Amino acid sequence: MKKAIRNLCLICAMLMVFTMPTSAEESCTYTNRFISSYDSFITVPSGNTLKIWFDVVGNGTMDEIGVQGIWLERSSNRTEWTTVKIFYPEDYPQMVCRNTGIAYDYVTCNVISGYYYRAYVTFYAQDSRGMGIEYDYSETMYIPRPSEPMCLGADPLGVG
Amino acid sequence: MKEKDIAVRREELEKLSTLDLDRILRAELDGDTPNRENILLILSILEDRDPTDPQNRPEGAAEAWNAFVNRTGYPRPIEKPIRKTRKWYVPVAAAAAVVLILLMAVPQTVGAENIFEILGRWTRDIFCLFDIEGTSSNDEYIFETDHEGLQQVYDAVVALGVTDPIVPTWIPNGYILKEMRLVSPNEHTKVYAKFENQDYYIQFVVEIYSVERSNKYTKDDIGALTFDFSGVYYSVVPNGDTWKATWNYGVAECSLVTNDTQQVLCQILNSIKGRATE
Repeated sequence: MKKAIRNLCLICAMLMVFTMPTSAEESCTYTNRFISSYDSFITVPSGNTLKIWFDVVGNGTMDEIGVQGIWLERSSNRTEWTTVKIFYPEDYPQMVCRNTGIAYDYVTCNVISGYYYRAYVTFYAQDSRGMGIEYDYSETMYIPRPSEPMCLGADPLGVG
Repeated sequence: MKEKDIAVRREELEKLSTLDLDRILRAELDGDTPNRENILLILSILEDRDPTDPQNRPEGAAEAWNAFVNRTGYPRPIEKPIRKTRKWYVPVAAAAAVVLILLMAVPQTVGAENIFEILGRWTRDIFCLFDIEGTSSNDEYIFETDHEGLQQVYDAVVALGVTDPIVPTWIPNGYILKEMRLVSPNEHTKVYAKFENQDYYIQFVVEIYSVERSNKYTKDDIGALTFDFSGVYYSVVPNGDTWKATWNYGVAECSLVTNDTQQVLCQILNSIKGRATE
């Protein structure tokens, strides 16, 4: 009888553990002593020109804060992606700020229409204690062909 | 073999020892022409004999038995089996495990992230003293502060077209505005203000979106303390050695970060609507 009760309790406990719902919190990540928040997004000011924005706020004033690299990727089907351009601070000094707690700027790129584009960004912030790094993908942006009668950024695949 | 001969033969075999009968039996079985009647006679005699009689034991059996007794001490008194007593902490640990699993499972059913979030909601008066005074939702909001730096921040936010009550009206004595930046005034405007007091800082950021967006905020891997006041949803989290509050108001996404205490953070939040606590 005791053994049966014990086994029943064990089964109930296992059922509770494995059926426990989980939720992904998209807006928060894990501890980072150097970076307080970060974000990247793409805007299309005109035609085939992309503005790839990066926004990183440190925990207090940082010796250096910004992005270590931006990978611009292109796809025709949103499944297979190809890197078409890489931005480094050596070539784009606005990617790094010094002695401040925020880096918020952009880089531009002329692209081919008729494709989806997204940016993979590596954020960083460092001071005398060390360095913190975060990674982020921007949302996907579609650049329509001139002949396509739709708004900039709209998704011809209709999946959002 | 005739019946009379069988009886005579049996009488002769019964005179032999068990060992001799065993040898005869082996010889019959190993032979080319075993005598079936002889074999049956020997087996019958052996079956009738008492196996416990020392004379009927095989050669060397006595010596082997004596060696066994000397080695094992047979016969031993039968020992009662040792009853293992359960340690007191086993059922306590089992009960604690069940309670812990329940604590992990229950918050999901009431819409909370974990038990700490529930505690935060229930015990907000301990974690964060909120004492709403001043304007109600129907009153026109008037920003009033004695701190020059906060006034500058408010003026910058208003210049961007935001007059909602999002700028604190109080920070602790000793803090002065060290840095304020207005980034990208034409697109996705952001106001960054940092106050310092020796080794401590308070960082206030307001981002005004033209489209719906949200930053990604770093935090420790525990639940957030959440507070809902007059429809504004504040989230307070630790991140390493800092405390962080985030909230949205209209088109503005706001964050407040400090390496001072959580109490100070909450006092600053408390000053956003109404008067300061000091």
